Amino acid sequence: MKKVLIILALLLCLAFLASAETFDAPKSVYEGNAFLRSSAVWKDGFISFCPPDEAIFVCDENRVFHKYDLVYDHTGYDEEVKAFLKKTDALLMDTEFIENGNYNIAVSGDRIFLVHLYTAAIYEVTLSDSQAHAVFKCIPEYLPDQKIKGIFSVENAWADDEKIYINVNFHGEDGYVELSVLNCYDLQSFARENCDLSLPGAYYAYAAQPYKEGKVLLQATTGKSSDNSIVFVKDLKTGEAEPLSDYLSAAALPAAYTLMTYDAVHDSVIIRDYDLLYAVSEGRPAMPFGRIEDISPQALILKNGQLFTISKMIQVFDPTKEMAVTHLSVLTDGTTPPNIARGSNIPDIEIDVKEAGGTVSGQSAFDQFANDMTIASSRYDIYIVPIQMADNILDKGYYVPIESEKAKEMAESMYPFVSERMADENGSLAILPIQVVRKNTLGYDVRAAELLGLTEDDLPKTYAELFEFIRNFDYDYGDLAIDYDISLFKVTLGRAIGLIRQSILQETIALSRIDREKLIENRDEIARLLDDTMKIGKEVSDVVAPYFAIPQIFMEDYIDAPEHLSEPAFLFTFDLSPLPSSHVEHYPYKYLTFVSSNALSLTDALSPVGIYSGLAMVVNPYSEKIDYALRYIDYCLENMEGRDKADLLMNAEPVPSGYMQAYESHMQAIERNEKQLEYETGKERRETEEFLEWLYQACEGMIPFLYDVDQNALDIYEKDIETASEIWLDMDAASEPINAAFDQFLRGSVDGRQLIDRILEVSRMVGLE
Amino acid sequence: MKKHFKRKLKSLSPGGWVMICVMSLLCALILIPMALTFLYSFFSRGEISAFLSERGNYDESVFLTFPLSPAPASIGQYYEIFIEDSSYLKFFLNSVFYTGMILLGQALIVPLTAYALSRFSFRGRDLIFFIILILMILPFQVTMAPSVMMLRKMNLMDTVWAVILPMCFSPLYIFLIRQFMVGIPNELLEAGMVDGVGPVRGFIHVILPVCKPVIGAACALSFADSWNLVEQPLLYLANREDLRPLSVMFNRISTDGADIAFAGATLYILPTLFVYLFFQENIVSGIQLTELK
Amino acid sequence: MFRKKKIVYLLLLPGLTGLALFYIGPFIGGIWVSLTDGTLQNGFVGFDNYKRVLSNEMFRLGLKNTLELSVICAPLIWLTSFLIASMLSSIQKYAAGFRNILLVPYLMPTSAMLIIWTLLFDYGGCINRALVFFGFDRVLWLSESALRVPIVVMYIWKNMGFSVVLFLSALSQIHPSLYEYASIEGASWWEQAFKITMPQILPTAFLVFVLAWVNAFKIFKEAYFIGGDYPSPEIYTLQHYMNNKFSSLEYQDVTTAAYLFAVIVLVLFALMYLSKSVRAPEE
Repeated sequence: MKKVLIILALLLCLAFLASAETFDAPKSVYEGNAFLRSSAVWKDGFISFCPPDEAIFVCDENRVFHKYDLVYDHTGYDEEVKAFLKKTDALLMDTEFIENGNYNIAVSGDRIFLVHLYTAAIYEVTLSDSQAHAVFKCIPEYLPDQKIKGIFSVENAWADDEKIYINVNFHGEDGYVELSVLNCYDLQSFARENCDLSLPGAYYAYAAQPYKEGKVLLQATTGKSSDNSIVFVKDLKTGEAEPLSDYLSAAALPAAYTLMTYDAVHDSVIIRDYDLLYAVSEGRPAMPFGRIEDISPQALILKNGQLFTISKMIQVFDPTKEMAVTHLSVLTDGTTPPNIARGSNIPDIEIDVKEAGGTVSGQSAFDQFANDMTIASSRYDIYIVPIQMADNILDKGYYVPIESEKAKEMAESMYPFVSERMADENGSLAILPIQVVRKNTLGYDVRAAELLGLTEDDLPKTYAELFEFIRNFDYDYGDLAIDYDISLFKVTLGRAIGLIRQSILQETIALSRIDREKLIENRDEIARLLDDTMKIGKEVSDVVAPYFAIPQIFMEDYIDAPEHLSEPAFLFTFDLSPLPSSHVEHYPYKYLTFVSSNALSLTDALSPVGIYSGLAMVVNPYSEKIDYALRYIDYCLENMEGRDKADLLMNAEPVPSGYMQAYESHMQAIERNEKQLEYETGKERRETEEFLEWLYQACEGMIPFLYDVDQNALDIYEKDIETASEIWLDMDAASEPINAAFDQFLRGSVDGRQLIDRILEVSRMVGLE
Repeated sequence: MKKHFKRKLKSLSPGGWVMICVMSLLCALILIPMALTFLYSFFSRGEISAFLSERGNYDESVFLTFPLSPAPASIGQYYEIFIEDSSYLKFFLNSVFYTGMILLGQALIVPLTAYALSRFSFRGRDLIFFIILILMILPFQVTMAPSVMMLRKMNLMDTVWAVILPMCFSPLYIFLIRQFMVGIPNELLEAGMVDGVGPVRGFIHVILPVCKPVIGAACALSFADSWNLVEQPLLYLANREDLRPLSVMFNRISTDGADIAFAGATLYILPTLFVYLFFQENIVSGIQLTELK
Repeated sequence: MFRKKKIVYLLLLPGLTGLALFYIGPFIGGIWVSLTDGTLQNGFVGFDNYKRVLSNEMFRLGLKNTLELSVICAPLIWLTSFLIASMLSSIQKYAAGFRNILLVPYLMPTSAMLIIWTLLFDYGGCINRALVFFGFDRVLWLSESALRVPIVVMYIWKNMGFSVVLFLSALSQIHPSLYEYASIEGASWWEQAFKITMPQILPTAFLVFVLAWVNAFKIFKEAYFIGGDYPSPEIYTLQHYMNNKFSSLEYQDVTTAAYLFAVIVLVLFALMYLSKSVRAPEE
């Protein structure tokens, strides 16, 4: 046992070593680290250009930064710029771009060059004690032969002993890259050689990097997005181009990936797939060796063979040390699991998400699960299944108990009706619920109710009362609503009725499973409710009133504009934050009843029914990577958002509303921008001031939504929930045949009573099976 | 000895003409669903969706009007299948491969086994026959899990043989050909035996030629079955998507992708139609009799 | 008929090996599955599953419906394909063409066809239109008990070609002189069909009947697509039961139900087999 522990410890250390070291970029003149926009290999370290600080930083082999302030010598620049502007007249170039102070840095032996981002003006830089003297050389020719309208920018620039290469991208009017050219200029004469970067098929290049032997590596894609981008190797002399996967035969590459750089020390190409770095060389599958935390830095291979990724933070990797990455396969029905491990803090686990029910099998994830369990397949490690299958999974035992501390805590703090379904006898979780929410909730805006003169008693408690209320709204409150500009619902009346109808349907279904007898007793009343939902739309639509339409403010582009929400705009709403967060002071929304399960009752005689639905993750007991799967589950558990579990746990923290989070980030932004005001001038200052104005307004609008917990209300709620017995999980199993009947109901060929009969029939069949 | 006797081609009696008319009508009716599929595969998605959403209208005065020609003939869905999702050709070749191999395997094994079960008497023959009968009845789902375990042990999972081999021993066709062989009159064989033909040569020279019609029929049917294999590839080739046949690709049932479903069905059926039209005649050419002198 | 020829075992060897490996083995494995309880630990529960399934009302309903539907479908298709095959065999020249057309439905993928069928049988579809034309009322084909009709029609449409092909090949075995003799004797077409043809092709007739019946058990897909997982009680077949059980991880019930069903069918077949003289003529 001891030996095992020691080995494990050693392995852990190795794992730690294999991961990246990081160190900070030098401090900027402004707050935080300097932003090293463009870097190049320099002597034993690297050299970077920092636009905000207008300085050049040199990092030596001891990772010490030396700063050189830039001093420009612009002689000759103005004439050339004028000539340049004339030529580019037909293009969408602005003086703004010319004045932009961004450059790419390129190094040739001992010479340093800066290339302007938009004009490609070349400056040569010499370093003295603490200054970098940038002397203007020329603006080289780089416009392509064909006429092209749009903005162009220098994507990348590099140099070798004789030439400097400038990769220019031309963006069309929609902003996407239309053409990419590579210009190389002799370093003495700056005579231009245009290198064509065309690619076979529908691919077009949008970024270039130097390779070896007169070839370049091109990042290319088809279509507008970079989702399927791959890398091509193009020979500049012969013009031939082939994909990297062909050029390095037998190298197995991910389906889409981004080019980082070429490792000349080890003759391999460094690519990344999202945040996972791979080294690709001939005859071997792509080897993962690290994860980057910032996905858009520049990558350099230094003379000592280490890979540096540089932006505000510098990460160092050893591209020869393979990082063991375990791939977990997750099957889902279209929902991406939350907190997927890519880009997470689990460096050695990679998640491959597969969608079920795709073009081929047509099966849902749960059907696939049933399939795989019967044949003991280890194909997928984790399944994401609908929560209503929990019973079956628990009964049959097709799960791996999640026994970590956190899981046990969660299991203990679940409401009884939840833990019955998700925890097993030993108190460990069998399935991890993700995104489980209550579905049939209706709430109202307290401020709006006040303005309209509504008391708690006036508000409806059953669906029948709700319909009464809607019918009489015009007469009772119409004028007030117009005065105060309050809509009845947050959505149109038609849509609201549709949502209410869905609610009633689901509750009927749930009731047919929980308490069939009661449903049969109250059949007629509920049938009347359903028929009402079809009638009421027509009845009330005669009244063309603004309060039956979407509130005016939501018609504008910026929905939920905070400055508008300081005023109540609607009375009823369907989307409330998860439960506990509503029992808070200062929160403008409340549920429509104060009965514990917070739903309207179907009839006077029936208690309200709460409908939950959602998804859960199950670990495949036949999987070969159970340990890794469990680690990932733990990770998801720890990082689960409050709102995803608030409906399940007793004493859950109230979920901070989106407004609270926005409020905080706005306050931070206000601080930052106020500081910036201190040294900004002219146009920039004006922009910042405008932005600050907007921020102040936004914050004011959010103040009503900053709340504290009302402990009393919360206690009452907790107690009620514990004793509530009507809360149930969504019955989707029978929804397909019921949907057909519901469809008929909507078309008018069956009435409410027949629909309920059908629901009863199906529910009986389901129960009997 | 054996004379091939071609049935005289009778000129058609009036009754014959009536039959032809009736049959033609029947065939026309039968072909309607296919014709509609082919037709609707040229409708654009919007048109099809609009048409499909008219279903379920319970208004007594209205009938569902079947559009007979597409407003603009749309081949977008064909484009989608062929070009965007370029696996059509690959799957097609897979299907051809599977069907070919299965037919070959069946040709080797099924007649032999059927012969043994029909023209010999030995202990356990009836028992085996009954077992074959039961095997035919059981739906695939029942033996799914055990068969996967079995294939796994033999290391055949995720290979083409998992799909091909079980089908080569299909009890259905053994049963089919056996029944036919049972009906062959004994005199044929006895005549052969007089000539000194043993069981094996009797099989090759006497039984097989007589069975040509039913073997042709079995080929046609087995072709259809193999072409339509869905559950087996899905199960046994779960990890090797590139080995899947065409039938799996068009298995989904959906009404919003209806235009693709129709186009897919058309593309799926056309190759088989060609095979039928051009090769069936070779396998079962005319109706021939082998008769004793 | 060969007796006691050792060579039969050699001939049988490849077939039997394959059957044993790929069919009989899993078959026995399935029996084992039906005797377990289906949890991850797989405990042995003997005949509990069988008892439970037999007493399950939905199983009985499914069984009843499946048997009923097959009793409707099998003889129907047997009769129609026999008649058609007889008709075709008297017009040999063109028989092949018609036969091929009849076979085409068998090839079509069910999924695409189903949409077309729902259109044809729709409340406002072609079939109802024809009914109204002839003076009848419209029928709601796609729901409740009337749903059986579209399902039977779909079944016949799809499987008729299969049986016709089989009958045709059997009919081709019959010596034409028998017919010539009969028509000289003045026998009508019907009499010829049933008195001459039938006895000659008895084994094949039995075969077709068996196959028709077996295929009738597999009408699941159509019923499922139109009626959903839990259709009206008249259409709820055994396949529905098995599929729903499978989807709720109750795999044991699936196998149990299937084996129960196999036993029942086997008993019926055995009765038929023993009563009719369809065995190879003994010497």
